[in-house]
Amino acid sequence: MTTPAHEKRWTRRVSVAAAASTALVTLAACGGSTSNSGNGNDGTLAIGMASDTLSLDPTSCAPPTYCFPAYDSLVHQTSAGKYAADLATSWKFLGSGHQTLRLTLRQGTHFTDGTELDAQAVVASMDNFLKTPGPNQSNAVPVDKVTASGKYSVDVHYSTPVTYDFALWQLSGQNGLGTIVGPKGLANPKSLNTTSDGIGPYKLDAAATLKGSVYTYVPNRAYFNQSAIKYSKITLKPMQNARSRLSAVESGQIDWAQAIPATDVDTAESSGLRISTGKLGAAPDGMPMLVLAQRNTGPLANVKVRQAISYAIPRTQIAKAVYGSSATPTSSMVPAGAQGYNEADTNLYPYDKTKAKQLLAEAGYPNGFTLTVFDPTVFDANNTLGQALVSALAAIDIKVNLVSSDASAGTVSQQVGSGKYPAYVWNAGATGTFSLAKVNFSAGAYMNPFKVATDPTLEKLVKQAGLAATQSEQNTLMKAATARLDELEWAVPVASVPTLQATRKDITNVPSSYLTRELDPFSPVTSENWSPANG
Amino acid sequence: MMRLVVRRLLLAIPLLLVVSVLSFVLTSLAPGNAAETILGSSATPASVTALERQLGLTQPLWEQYWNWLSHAITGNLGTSLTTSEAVGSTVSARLPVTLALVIVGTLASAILGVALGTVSALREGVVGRVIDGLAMLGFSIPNFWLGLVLVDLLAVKLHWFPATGYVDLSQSPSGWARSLVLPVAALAAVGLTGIAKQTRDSLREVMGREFIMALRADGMPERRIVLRHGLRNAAIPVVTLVGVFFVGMLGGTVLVESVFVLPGLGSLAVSSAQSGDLTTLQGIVVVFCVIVVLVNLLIDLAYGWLNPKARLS
Repeated sequence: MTTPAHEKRWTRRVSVAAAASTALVTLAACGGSTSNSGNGNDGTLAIGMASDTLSLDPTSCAPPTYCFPAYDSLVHQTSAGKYAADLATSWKFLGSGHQTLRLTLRQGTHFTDGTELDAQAVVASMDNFLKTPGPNQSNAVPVDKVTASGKYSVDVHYSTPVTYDFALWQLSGQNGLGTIVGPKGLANPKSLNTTSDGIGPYKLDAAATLKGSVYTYVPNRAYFNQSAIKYSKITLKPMQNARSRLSAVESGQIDWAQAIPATDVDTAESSGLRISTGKLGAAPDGMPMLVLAQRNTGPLANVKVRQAISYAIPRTQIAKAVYGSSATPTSSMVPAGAQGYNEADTNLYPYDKTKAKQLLAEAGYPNGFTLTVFDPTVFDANNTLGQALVSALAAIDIKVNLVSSDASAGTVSQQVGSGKYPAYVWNAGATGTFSLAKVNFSAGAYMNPFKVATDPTLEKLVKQAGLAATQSEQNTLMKAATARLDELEWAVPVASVPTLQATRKDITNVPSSYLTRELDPFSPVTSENWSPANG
Repeated sequence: MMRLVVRRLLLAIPLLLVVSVLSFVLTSLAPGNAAETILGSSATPASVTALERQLGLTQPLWEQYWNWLSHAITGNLGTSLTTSEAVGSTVSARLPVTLALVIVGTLASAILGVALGTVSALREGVVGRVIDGLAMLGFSIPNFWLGLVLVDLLAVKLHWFPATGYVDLSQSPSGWARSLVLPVAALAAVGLTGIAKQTRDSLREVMGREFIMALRADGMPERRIVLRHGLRNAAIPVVTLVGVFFVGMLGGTVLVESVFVLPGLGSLAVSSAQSGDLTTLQGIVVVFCVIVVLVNLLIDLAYGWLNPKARLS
C-alpha cells in the first residue's frame, strides 16, 4: 500500500515535535544543579527586594535600598542607630535656637559625573528634593531651606527647633533629603535611571539593568573609601512574593531576602539562614494602630472614650495571633529603639473591659455607640486586625462597621485624608516622638485628617526637647512628650512588629539586630560593610 | 485561505478598539491613580492634585483615551505614568519572556497531552482511569500553588532547577531551558491534563468509526491507523482546546511570573494595575489582544489544514 505525501508529512511533523519536546526536557533536566548566582563568595551580593522602586532618582527611590549602593548621604546612620560622618564630616547647631544646622562637607570628593562635591552641589540637590513630588518628600518636614555658607559648608534651616537625633536621621540615607545627586544628574533626572550620578561605593551598570527585574551595580573606582568596596557586583531583584524570596535565598540564588514573614523564620533558620531583626519595623507592618481621627466632634472627641477603646484591646492575644511571636504588644506610640521611647507606657492601657466600660459611662456612652472603621488591606492583610478590633470593641458595646479596601498605600492615604472615616487602621512603621508630633499628627496630615488642633502641652514639651542643651535633657523631655502623646491616645497602637531579614551565613558583618528603618550593607564605616566570608 | 486571513485581521481592528476602551474604563473605575502611587502614603491632597494635573489625569476620561489612542495608532504606546519610560520599549523588553513561557507551555501541554491521551485511548482500564484522575487533579490544582510546591521540591531541596528568574536564550540555551522548566510545568499542568482527556475521548470515538474498521480489514498496521488516520481525525477538537489553553496560559502568566519572578508582561500587568499606570496597562492589553487574535487565526488555519471541508466552507 502506498502512503500519500500529506500523510508522510503529518507523521514527520508529529515525530519532529515529539523529538523537540524530549530534547528540551532532557536538556533542562541534564543541565546539572543550579548555579548560585547570588552566592556572596563569588563576589556578587544579590538582594531579593520586597518591592520595586518607581525610579532610581533618589527623589523617588523607595525603598532607599535601591539607591544605597550608588549614593552616599550627608550623614550615615549605623545599624546601631548612631550617626557617622559621610559626605558631611561634622555638624553643629548655630546658636541656641536649634533651627539652623551647619554641616561641613568632605573635601576632594567627586560625583560619578566628575564634578567635585561642594556646597553649591549639595544645596542644588537638596533644593531639588524639596521641590520634586515624590514618595519621600514629606520626610523633609520641617526643613525650610538649605543655603551655602562657604565652599564646603551648608546650613539647613528648620521652621521649628529640632533635636540632633531627628535632624541627623533626616539627613541620613534612610530618608532621601540627605542623599546627594550630582549636577549632571539633576539637570537630566530621567538619566538617573540609566546612569547613577552620586558619590557611592558602586555605580549603576545600565547594560545589566532591566527595570522591574534586576538592577546591577559595579564598583565605583572614584569612591573616596575604596576599602568599603567588598563586592565586584551588586544586584537588586524585585521579588514581591515573600515565598519566592525565601526560596531564592534558600536555594542560593540570592544572598539576602528582604522582609520575610514571621511565620517563615523557623523554616529559614532550619535552612541555615541567618535572621536579622529590624527592631524599628518598617511600614506596612511595623506599628499597626487604630487611628481615632474624628476628634473634633462625636464620641472620639472625648479622651475617655479613646482611652476606653485602648483598654478594650487584648493586645497580647492579637499581637500573637495576627503578627506572630516576634511582635511585641505595646500601648505606646513609640517603640523601643525609637527616639522618645518610654518604657512605662508600653502597658499603659492593659486589657481591662471593666475599666473600659467605666470610662465609656463617664464619657456619657454607657450603651456604647457605632463606629465606622476603615481597614485597608495594604496595612492589614486579609483584614485580620480589623476583625479582631470588631470583636474586642463589641465587648464594650461599640459596634464597628468595618470598611475594607484593596487600594494602594497612596490611594488609601487620600481616602483617609478626605475625612470620610472617623477611624482607620494605619501602619506608618516605627516612628519617634518628634516625627509623630510635628509631622504625622500635624493638622491635615494623614493621621489628623480632621485638622484637630494639636495639644499645647505636647507642643511645649517637643519644643523644649528641640532646644535642650544636653542629650540627657533632650531624652527626658522626649520621654515626657511620649507620655503626653500616649495619654491623649489619638491613636491606639497594638504592637511593635519587627522587620525580619534572611541572609546567607557566608556574608560577614550582618548585624543580628538593627535600629535603622532599612538595613544598609554599604557603609562609609569600613568595619560595618558586609563582605563575602572569604573576601 | 487568503480571504480568511484578511477578514480575520480586519475584524481585529474593532476588537482592539473595544478591548482598549473597556480596559481604559475599567482601570479608571478602580480606586487610586498613578499620582497617588508616586507620592505614597504621606502625600498631601494638594501635592496629589498638582501631580494629577501634571500627568494629565484631571482631563475627562474620553480625552485621556483619545490622547492615548491618537498616539497608539501611530505605533507610539506612550510613556509610563509612574516611571516615565516608553511603554513600547518596556513591553518589547518583556514580551519575549512571556512568549517563551506560553509557547513552550503550549507545546509541552499539546505534545505530552496528545501522547498521554493516545496511550489512554488505546489502553483501556487502569491507564485510562489514571489519566482521568490526573486530568481532574490538573484542573483543580491552582497553578501558583503547584509552582510553589515545585520550587520547594525541585529547586530548594534538590537544586535541579533555579527557584526564580529567567535566563535569556542568547545568553545560555541550557540556562534558558532550565529557567523555564518549573514555570512551564506550573503553567501547563491544566492544559496538559485537559488535552490528554480530550485526545482520549476524541480518539476513542474516531477509532470506533466504520472507516477505521475498513482500514483494519484492509490489513493496515494498527500503529499506522492510529497515527495517520485516527489522530488526524481526532485532532480538530484538540486543536480548539490548544488554542483555548494558550489564551488561558497567557492569563496564567500573571500569577506564574510573580511566583517565579520572571520579567514578563504578566508581572508587569500586575504592577501597572496596582500602581494605576494606565498607559502601561493599555500597552499590555493591546499586545495580549493582538496575540490572542493571531493565535485564533492560526487555529482557523490549522482547521483548514486538518480538515479540507473546513477549507471549502
